Amino acid sequence: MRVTLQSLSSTIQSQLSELTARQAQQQTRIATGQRLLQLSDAPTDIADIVSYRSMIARMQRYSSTLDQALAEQNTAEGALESISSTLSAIQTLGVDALQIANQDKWRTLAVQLRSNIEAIIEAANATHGDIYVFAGTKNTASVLVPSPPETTQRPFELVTTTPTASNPSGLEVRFKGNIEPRTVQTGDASAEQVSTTADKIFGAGGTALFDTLIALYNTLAYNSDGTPRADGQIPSPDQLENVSSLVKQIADASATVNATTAELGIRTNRMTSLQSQLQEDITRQREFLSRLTDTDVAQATMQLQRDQIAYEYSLKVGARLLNLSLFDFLQ
Amino acid sequence: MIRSLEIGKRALLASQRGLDVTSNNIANVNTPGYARQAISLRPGESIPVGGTMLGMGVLVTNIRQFRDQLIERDVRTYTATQSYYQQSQTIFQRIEAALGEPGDQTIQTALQQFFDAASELASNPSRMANRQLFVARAADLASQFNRVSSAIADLRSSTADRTSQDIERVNQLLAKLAGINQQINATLDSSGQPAPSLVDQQHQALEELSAYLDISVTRTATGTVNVSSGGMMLVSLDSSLKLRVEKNLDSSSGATTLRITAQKQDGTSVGTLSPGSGELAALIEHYNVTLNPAAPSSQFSVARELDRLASAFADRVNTIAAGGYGLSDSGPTPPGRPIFTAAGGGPLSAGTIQLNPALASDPGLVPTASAPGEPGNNAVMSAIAALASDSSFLDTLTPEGYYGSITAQLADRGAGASDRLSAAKATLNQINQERQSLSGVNLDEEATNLITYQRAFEAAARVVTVTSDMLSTIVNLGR
Repeated sequence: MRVTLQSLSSTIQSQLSELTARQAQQQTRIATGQRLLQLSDAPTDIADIVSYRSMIARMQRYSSTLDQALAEQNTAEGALESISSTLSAIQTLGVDALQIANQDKWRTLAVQLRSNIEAIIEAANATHGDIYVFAGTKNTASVLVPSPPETTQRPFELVTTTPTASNPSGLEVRFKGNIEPRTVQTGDASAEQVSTTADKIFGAGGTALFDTLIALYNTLAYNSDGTPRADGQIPSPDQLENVSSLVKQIADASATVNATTAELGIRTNRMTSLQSQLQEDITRQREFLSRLTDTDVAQATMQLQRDQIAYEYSLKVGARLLNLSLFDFLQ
Repeated sequence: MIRSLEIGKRALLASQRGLDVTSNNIANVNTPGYARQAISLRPGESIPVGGTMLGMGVLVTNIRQFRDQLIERDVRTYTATQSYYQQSQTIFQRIEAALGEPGDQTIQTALQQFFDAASELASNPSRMANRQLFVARAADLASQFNRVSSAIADLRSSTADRTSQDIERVNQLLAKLAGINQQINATLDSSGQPAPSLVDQQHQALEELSAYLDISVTRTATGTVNVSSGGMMLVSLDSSLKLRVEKNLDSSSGATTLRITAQKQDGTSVGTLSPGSGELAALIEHYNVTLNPAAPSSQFSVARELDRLASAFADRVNTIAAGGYGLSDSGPTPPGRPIFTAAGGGPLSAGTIQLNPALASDPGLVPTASAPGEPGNNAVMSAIAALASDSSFLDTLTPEGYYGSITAQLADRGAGASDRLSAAKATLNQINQERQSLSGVNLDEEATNLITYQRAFEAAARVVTVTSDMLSTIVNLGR
């Protein structure tokens, strides 16, 4: 085969150009850490890469949702513990009221009980950020509009209404929220309830427990005819029986609160465990993605080195081949 | 003696012609399209002298070019193929750049951020900061769709411009070939052969033309060529057709397509030309299909697929949002407020999708709740966030999955163009080597020829000198 100057030079040029392009490519891969510089570098991997990225983004989203849900549940858990502890104190107060030695102190005990009821209401109005955790989906001040005698934009409020025979103090706890649960997505096909509804804690309508507590208060603070109890006045047998019955109801309510707290704890554990699982999955998926998208620096460096050597020798050989012709030897 | 002088003269002339051709070869060693030349020699007619036949030296019959028409045809075929895939690869790379792939500023990233914001808002729908973030992410997503759509429309427009420029050059080349045909017929040598320089120019023009379209060349006995493409005769002797790019508007879809039409120099229409291969074929194919938002669904169009994704996404989100209430909404019937609207009121597409302006000015209006007056109700926003994993979103894929299928198809086609370009380049390179092997100038060879003709010239000159001396001796015999 005849070899001409032009074929020689075009071959050398295309080889040098190819080697330069390859070096530039390896250099970019090392500098950016990215194996794929364009989609067509690995067409078979693109669908997998998009899929891994999508999966990682979704898992991070669920993890972030769980973070927020756990923070809210921690607040709810704290409030429930406070409610439970106050209910225990009320139970003790009720039992104390039944003791003969304390039967002349019901008026004082009633004052303590009211203070405890207010403490429970305070705990029931616990907030996480700007939301009330036990108010269902009507959980911000903007929609908790008070109607007289209510005065606050909080979900639970102790108000005083017109006294009646059955409620001589006129005390009443109003609940302005609702008992709709709030759920969030924690997986492609799974959701978790993040809110604890008021009926699960305080019974029917979110106020049943308060009705019991106010009934106890009325029994301790008022006589059967609705007149305020005088200091040192001894209660009637009916009233003692009533207190006994109410203390039992409070004990049952306290058990319900404890069960709800336990349920919340179980849910929190489940979420914590799910989050750990998600973190592990994210790490694993990132590793798979990295294998597809990231540069193997050692391999790229070796390839760059090989290309540099080839380039250097191509230049040397090309220069020699193109340097001499028969004309150099003609006299 | 006179015969010897004639033989010497012929040898001198032959050597001189040989030196001329060698010099011309050396001068054109780097001239594109040049095919080396050589003189053809034959012995002079023998004449009877004293009962024997005596040769009368050497004669130059013609100057021949080393060119193989089969190789030239292959060069043109693979030049067209290479140009087609080169242009396709360029367009696919520009589409990839428009999509921002592989990178961080992509539609996929914007989709992820939209769903992140929706999920965040579902976690706490009453929080104004979450609503503002959701509105910002929805606007970002719409603007990503707009940006990519606009970049693809720009690419389509520049593809049309490039087609017009190419057609202009093709017309110049067709006219040039017709002109060369005319010159060849006017300057045939005594043996009926065309001037080598005209043949070189002809081949160069044909090779350049083949980069634009797939051509078929028929050569006549005198060296003129007829050029056709897609069954249409473009150059015939000294006449050539004039090509034009026309835009056709499809009244039903509102989309335009390109086509090449041909007309005679007097303006008579000849018909539509299908370039078959070459740069023009690639440009027209990508303008009419890959970049055409109204391309038939049987062919892959990145513009149509992005429009489909954008409109399906907006429709699904809006359908869910239609049943939702914002923070201040009341009444038994939801306000039916969409998240996305179409700019200008037209149909929703990647180019027109935008955030509902009402939401931009008041994020509290973002429909998140399934019932009025419940700021903590996240049912609607949760359903929007759940779209991220809805595998029945479009063609049994999630929104990101569908976007992934677009990029995968794009990557596949880009890689296909790249692979075929490499193959065409390698083949063309090999054919060019074969052509160089036959037609290229080898300087060592020419240097040898130079010495050969120099020595032959010296020897012929010596023959003339010796003959002259002998003649002189004879002339001086009588003195």
